[in-house]
Amino acid sequence: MLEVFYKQHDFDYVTLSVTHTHSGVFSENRALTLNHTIIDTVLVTGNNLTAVKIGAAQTTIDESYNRIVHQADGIVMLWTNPKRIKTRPVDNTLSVVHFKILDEQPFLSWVFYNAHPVVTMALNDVVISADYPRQIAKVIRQNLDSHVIFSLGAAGDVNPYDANTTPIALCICVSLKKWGLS
Amino acid sequence: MLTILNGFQLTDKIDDPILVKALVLSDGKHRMAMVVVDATALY
Repeated sequence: MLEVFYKQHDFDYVTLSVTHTHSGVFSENRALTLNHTIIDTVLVTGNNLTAVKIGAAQTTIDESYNRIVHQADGIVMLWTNPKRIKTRPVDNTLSVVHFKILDEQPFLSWVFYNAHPVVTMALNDVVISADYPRQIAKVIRQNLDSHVIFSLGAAGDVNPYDANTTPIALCICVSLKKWGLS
Repeated sequence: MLTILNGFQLTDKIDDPILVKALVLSDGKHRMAMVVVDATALY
């Protein structure tokens, strides 16, 4: 796929990232279709350029923690932490790269945060959920009316404090409906 | 202020919860594409 971009369409640099989800699905037989979709999407995008301004900002938000707790006899996994017990430091920087069209209209917000999207995860149930990134995207869209991309930051062993506080019934309901099982 | 040429495209919703988002940046001479395959974008 990269050769198509580099050799046939004269791109200088291409990056590909994939959602780190704990509550999504992907079947391998979609892979070939997905390749074509990616190529088509990029080529269409490249033919629809518009001038923009770019800005970036960052802050820290204390909504995540290191789930590995080191004890004298080994480590313990702290899978959820609603009481916000202090653990080892994490990089809880929230970064945003924002694109505006030249008439100042918001165009795209690219948001980065470190916590695994596991607020709506259910260990014993298959649920499909965009988890907290969806809520971030929803708020941004409501306030700025811009496109949103979410990327996971330095997420190694980092959970949101409210991990696994699933409204499970809601997630299952959504999943069943999506797959035509309800 | 940096002014660049930018394009953004979403695929149409397809029959599973996956979207492809592409961002192309260009300074007129060079082109860079950033692609995100978002497995949960529809929810």
